[in-house]
Amino acid sequence: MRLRAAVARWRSALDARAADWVRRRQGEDRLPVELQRRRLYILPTRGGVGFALMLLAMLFAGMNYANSLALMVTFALGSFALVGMNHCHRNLLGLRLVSLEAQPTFAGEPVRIALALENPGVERHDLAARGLGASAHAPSAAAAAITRLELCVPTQRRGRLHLSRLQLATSYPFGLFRCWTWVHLPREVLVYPRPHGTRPPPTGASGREGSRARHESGRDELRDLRSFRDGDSPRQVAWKTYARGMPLLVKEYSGASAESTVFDFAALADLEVEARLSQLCRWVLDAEVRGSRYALWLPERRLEADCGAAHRARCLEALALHGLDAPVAGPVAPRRASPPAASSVRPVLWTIAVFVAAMLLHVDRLPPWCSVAILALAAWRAATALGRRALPRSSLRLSIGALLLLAIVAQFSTITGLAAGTALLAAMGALKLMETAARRDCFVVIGVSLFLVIAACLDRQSLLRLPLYVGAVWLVCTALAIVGTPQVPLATRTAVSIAGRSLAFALPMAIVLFLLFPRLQGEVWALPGNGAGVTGLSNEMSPGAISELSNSYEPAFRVRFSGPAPAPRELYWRGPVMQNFDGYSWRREPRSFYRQAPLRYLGPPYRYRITLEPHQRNWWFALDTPTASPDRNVIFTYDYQLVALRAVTQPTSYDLLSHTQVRATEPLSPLQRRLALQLPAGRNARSVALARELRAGAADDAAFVRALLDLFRDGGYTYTLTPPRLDLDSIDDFLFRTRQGFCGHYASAFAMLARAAGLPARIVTGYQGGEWNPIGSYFIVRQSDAHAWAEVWLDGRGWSRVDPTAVVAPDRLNRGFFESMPSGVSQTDRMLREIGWLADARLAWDTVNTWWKDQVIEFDLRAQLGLLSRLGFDSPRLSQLGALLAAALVAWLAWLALHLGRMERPRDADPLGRAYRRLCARLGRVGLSRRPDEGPLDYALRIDASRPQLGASVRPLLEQYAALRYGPAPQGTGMRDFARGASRLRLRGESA
Amino acid sequence: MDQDLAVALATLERVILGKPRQLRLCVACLLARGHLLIEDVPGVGKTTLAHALARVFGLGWNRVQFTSDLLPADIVGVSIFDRATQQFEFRKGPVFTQLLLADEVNRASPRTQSALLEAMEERQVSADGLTYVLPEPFFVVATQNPTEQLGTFALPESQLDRFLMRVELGYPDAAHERELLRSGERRDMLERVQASLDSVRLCQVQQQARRIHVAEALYDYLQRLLLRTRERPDIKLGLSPRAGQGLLRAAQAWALLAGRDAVMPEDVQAVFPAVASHRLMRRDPTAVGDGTEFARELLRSVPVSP
Repeated sequence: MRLRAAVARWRSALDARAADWVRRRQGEDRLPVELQRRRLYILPTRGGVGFALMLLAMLFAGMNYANSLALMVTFALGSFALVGMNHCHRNLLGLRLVSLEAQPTFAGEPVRIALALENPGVERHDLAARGLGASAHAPSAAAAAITRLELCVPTQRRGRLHLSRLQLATSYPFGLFRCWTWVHLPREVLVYPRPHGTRPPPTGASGREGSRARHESGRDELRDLRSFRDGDSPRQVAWKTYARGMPLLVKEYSGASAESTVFDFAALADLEVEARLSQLCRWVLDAEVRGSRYALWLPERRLEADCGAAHRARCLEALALHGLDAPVAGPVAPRRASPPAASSVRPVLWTIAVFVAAMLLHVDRLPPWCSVAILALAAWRAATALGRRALPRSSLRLSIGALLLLAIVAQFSTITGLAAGTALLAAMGALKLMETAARRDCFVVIGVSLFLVIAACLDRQSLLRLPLYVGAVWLVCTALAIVGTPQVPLATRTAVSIAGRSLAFALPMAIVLFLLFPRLQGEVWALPGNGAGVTGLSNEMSPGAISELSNSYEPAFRVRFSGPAPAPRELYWRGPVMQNFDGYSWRREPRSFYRQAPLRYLGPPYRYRITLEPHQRNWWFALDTPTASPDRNVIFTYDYQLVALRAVTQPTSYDLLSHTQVRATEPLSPLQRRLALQLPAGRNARSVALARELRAGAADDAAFVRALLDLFRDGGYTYTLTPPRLDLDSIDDFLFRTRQGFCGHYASAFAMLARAAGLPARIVTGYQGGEWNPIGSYFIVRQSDAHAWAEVWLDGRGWSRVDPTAVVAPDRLNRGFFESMPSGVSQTDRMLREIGWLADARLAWDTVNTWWKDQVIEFDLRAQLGLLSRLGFDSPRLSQLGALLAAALVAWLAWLALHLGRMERPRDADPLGRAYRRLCARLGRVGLSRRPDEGPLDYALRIDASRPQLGASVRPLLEQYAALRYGPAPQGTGMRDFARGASRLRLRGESA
Repeated sequence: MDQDLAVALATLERVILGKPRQLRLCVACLLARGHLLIEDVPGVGKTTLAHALARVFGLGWNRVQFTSDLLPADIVGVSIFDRATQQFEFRKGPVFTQLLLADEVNRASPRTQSALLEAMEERQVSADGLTYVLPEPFFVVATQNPTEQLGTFALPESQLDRFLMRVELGYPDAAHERELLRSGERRDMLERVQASLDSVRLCQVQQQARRIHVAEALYDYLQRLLLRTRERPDIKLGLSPRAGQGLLRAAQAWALLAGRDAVMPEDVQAVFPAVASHRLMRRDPTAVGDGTEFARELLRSVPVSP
């Protein structure tokens, strides 16, 4: 308790200090008070600070995972908050307080302090005034009109109420910033004593005045005729009028003979002071209503008999101030006069809508029961809000929360990881929704929704989902606008438009931040696996493995050549190389301590850029054969494959240089030779015998290879996607029984036969061919283009590619998978490729999507450095980057101020007015500025009077303007003459 | 400006010395077909002015001195039983003239005031079931003394609204007062004044004033003025649409007098204090201040162009 009291004391001392500082800085004000830049203060609200913290967290998440969309959303929201700050400031700027009136009132009734604010600019919203502990709100102030606010300050005692300063504040539009100003217009309001008392007033009373005779009819003047009342003297009746047939009327006279009474303070000796004052007040009011004259005698002064409004005011003032020397200060304005909580259904509904929308982004990743539970909770909350029922008890909420948590942990068996984390976040948001009552809670739920949006961005960044994210962010901003003005929430249309416009203004700065904000290299905190399934080639090839992939039309990667591309026959994309054969399947050799032998490169070099789709494995594909590894974290293995240290979980781009023809420069090392000749003992015996036989019959290795190829071509073998299953001795089975196979079978058989004949051989899996996209000028290589071929070591040449498919199904190489094997393609895919406009549309979509992935999603540190070097910063330091960003921020803020300012004065449709204003501004610079209420002719006369030589040239111009503006002739060409004349005017002493 | 009007103004300035602006306002009021209220202390020439106006414009005129027991019949006329014809005959009252000077209009009872004001408004008089139209052109020049409040019935706001302009003459300055003292009675001078126009010509000039061009920008300014009077918190009652129309007509008349073919903001500003000061009701009852000064301050607060 003591601590709290101490804090309160410290706070009030701080407030007093701040108030003094403000008063000293601004000085006293006089009506009309114009709210200029100098006197406006702006700071973030508590919600604004929370928003900033949230943005920091989102920024960290985006930078850590190098997620472009998350970063973009963060930067957009940050810039959006700055735009909101600008709007908030402009909401008060330019307002003019034109009157501050307070009518005196009686104790017990509230003092009404009336403010009138004149709004010269565009429409404003959410204005609040605070003073003496009371507050008043105006939800909107129309343009070019006057808005009135009324503060009701309760009073209890009589006296003088001193209003020392008034606060005008707003937190439009999003409740993130609060802009306020102090107005020092001291006002004193009299509080009269409460009229109370049942004693009858004195009649006639002391002194001569009560007994003066009336009816000195010769002198007095007839004032009015009123109807006859019982008890009126017959002398007063207007008989002549009665004789004429009118009803009985009584004449009333004005003049010095009217009745008067004296109200004496001292006469009420038996009451205490306040009661006396109250009774006197009652008498005064009654006497005034009756219209009789009265005098008021107080110990310190006496007011002589009179009647009328002024006399009444004087008497009441004397009564109010009796015995008081110093003015009674009003109740001190509390630090934050909290307005009465408005019953706010719309903000709560909008919060629910935003939360549901953010959650729906995840609806296909969350388990169905989770989505349904959360939607049910949201619907329950909506029903509660609409039906205005009470929220569920906290015990119920806690039990639901515990249940959800247990279920999520059971489902995902962890609470880390993106999916589990998202579910947890959504559940927490739903629970918070159940206890949402005040504006603060709504802000929290909106924050949770924003995090859900970020989680969706971290999850998927495809172009198709971009409109969803944009829509979600716009929805969040609209909800902020509605929740941020809790007194009278903005109309939906206004909120949507202000949110959309602010986001649009924020976009340029967001893009600049996106391009220039320094990125992290690598992750600080890695996400555990996405859980998405692995696709594509594996490190093991068994018969039929490749043909399984032929079902998938998914793109594996895209290639853009910087020069001419090789012929389709040469488009071999090197993937996993397999050395280990167990008789059935081939596997990659896991140990990689073998040395890579240098190569001699023949033929033209091919430079290209590959963009891999995430396939959850470590392979980086390249055109056979690449010359070096493109990245520090990717190993160029001994068998000329590119293997990354980490799996490809995001689209990845890299540049490579390849040659399609290579020669070895060293002989094969014995270790590698042994590896490449390894065969399981006792398996595929017939094939081994065949190989030996063929080798014996061939002159050398090259001839043996040719013989093998002849075997395949002429041996009655067919190339099919669906060969029969093979036995464990797969090669024997394939070569001698089934004779049907896909590329994998042939390659496997060839490699095995070569090894059996003592020729080092290995399998290379990868892709062959690719679809050319003429719109984007790149190749699309799909999973269906997956291929397997063999490599044999020929002395003098080194590892040489031998593709049995070339002899068995040459079409496959020349025309690609789709053309050569139409049966393997589904109906829709075939339609997409054959129908002209559909194919074009598909390719165009692929181009756009690829651009999106390359330029936006993959904009990482490397791409940023590339951009900076293009701008001229070759190795930028952080300080340089900071300076660039700061310059961009200043430029953007200036553009924003200019644009917003211009939007508030849409007067471009009036060129004549513009020219005139320019002329007046120029004249103003030499000391002859036009008063706003001065017409052009008066202005001309004034200039003529004060500076005749200038007047000689200016006066015809002003008369011309007057004729154009107010004259009967249509404007037309006269306007141009005027503008030309105005601009040609020479003004001496003008500061340009 | 029309030659005749120039001569008329010059003649008036010879009769009433040292008040060129007020005279111009009065002439503008006449050209705008409006009624004039002259509020001033006694003896500055209110009656002389009305008489001069009538003579210069060739109008027939009457004068009624309002007292507290004046009856409506004393103004509009009374039906008298003529024994010869055995019929009631309506004898027209002093209102049946082209320029009526109603002196001290605030002294009569409200009933009498309303009779006059109704005639002003309708430009006709109904008696015994018959309607008698007042002559064309018809003006009422009413006077009242602002300082004497005792025993007066102040004109209510709705009736004040019927007067197009309120003009204050004020004391002449020293030079002109000297000349006035030297040149003697105005009455004789008035006998010698020649009419510069006649009623037909006056009607023509009135039509001409009506046709002076008013641009859209001027309507904007006018409406801004009217809006300002209605929205300022210290004004209880702003200018009515009738006042706005009156202001426009007065401005057109002023432009005609200046020889222009279109109304300028300066014209509006020139007639505004006269047109508006008696119509604006201040919220603060204790506000003491010249209505004219207040109107001028209002003018200063309204920009001419947006």
